[in-house]
Amino acid sequence: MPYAKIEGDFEMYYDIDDFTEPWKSPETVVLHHGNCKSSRFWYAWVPLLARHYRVVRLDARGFGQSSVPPPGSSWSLSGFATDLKRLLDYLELDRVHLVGETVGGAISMQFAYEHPERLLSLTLCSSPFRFTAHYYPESARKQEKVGVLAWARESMARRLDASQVDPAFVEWYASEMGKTSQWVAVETHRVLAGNDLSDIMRQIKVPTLILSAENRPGYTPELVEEMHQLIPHSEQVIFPGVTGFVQHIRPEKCVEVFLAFLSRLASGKAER
Amino acid sequence: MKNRRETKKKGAYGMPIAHINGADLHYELENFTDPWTKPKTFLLHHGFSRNSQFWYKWVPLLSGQFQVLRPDLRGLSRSPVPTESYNPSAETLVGDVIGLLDHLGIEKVVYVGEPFGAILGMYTALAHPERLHALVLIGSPLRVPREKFGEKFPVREGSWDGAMAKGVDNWSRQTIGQRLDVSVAPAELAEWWISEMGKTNPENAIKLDHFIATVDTTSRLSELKVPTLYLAGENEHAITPQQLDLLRAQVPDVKVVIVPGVGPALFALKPERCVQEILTFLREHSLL
Repeated sequence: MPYAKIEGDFEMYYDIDDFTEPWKSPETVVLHHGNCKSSRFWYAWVPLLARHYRVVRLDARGFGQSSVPPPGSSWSLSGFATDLKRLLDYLELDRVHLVGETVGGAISMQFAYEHPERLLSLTLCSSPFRFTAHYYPESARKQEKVGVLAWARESMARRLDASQVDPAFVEWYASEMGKTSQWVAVETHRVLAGNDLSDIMRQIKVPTLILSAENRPGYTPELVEEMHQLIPHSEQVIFPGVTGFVQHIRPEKCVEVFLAFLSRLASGKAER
Repeated sequence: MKNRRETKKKGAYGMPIAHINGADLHYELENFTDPWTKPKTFLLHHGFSRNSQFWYKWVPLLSGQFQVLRPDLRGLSRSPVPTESYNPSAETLVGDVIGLLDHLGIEKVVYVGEPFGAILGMYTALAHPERLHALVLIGSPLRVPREKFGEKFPVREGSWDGAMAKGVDNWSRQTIGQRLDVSVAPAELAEWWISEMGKTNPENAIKLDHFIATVDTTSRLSELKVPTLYLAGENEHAITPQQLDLLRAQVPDVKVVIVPGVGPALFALKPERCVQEILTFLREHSLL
């Protein structure tokens, strides 16, 4: 699948899957992965969505099959948001439904704040917004010391509850995360630490859906509620009995909720 | 809103390509299954003058559970071949199927074909039964008496060759009822079929059509060693009740399912029903 040369030497890897009626012009859903992950992690969402929408998945700068910048490059949520805008320009996609998971959701919130005119909706899966926990600087230290794979394996419990999913899934997930370049993991975790998106969240104009598992190690339902209060036009859906990253543990249920959200938005428009 | 679909759609011309038996053959390959598993592969083969894209509704239905391979036949729109060197025969076309499987390292497939794609599946199953888990034939004839079809669906130009020479879309539009139930299909679908079929080089289409006219699988039905499922709409033109009886009687392991309320192109008009029948058939044969 293709690469988009969106800035200088940076080549962004992306996938488009579209199984909609060929004579129609479908709306587009863009799926943005989180830290140390890639477009591959969304595989279960694609067949569920691509009959109704054009589905675009990207590998963010430094991850998956996209170009990896050298050590010491400057990283920021705004930088990732700008990369996304460049991809949308390249693909001539005017307005899209943006879905971000974990830090991909933080990037998506940054994007919604900076480029609201490019979005039809925003969906956040298991996304943090306040990066004050020890987890971020701790992770950077760990990754420096033992490498990304060992760090990922050790911290899998916050992502997937081993008692609820196939152990082969846990191993695949960790080993995919482990493919991330060490300095990319270290530098991005360091840069995230201390960020607080509360102010920009208050200014997000786009209809927003917030998805989270009931149990999310390192994150409480109160924090999810706080996100809902901060973002003006938002809904939250909590998935009971799930521990970890619901978007990867219960993709069918998440897509069901997401499609219902989009359908409500569409009929809301029709009423005007 | 400026969304340029054609150029950005997945599987646009030129990606991916396999160099098989002297030709560059296009195909699509999708797999959205759990990446640590080794799922079975479905091979979906289009019919005369059609292409891999005609299966678009099937990919979301299958690709969460199976790998889905959609080849584009040599000589047609997405796998063009110079007319001078184009010589379609059962050996060449079966060779392309096996060549593609070998190229992709796929040992066995569930082969699903629609009319000519199904006939090709029969030839493949006869020559290489060890490469198929099962064979699914959708709305296909066992042989293609071109004169009879020509009479049933006459064209302005007098002959099908004459109509095709003016463009495969020209021929397709005049004979659309033969291959697509227009009483069921939305108008836009029929238009899209006609325009896609129109992308085929007319000379290649004529050559392929002439080859298809020589096809007669009726004498070899008893040799089919793979579990075979035949699906068709009750108003399908391509197969006669006599041929269906022959199929039922002669193929060792066969199941025939006729779906009411629809005619030609069951695969396009009732994809969910087709997939449901196929999965049931596979379960019945302990292949799932």
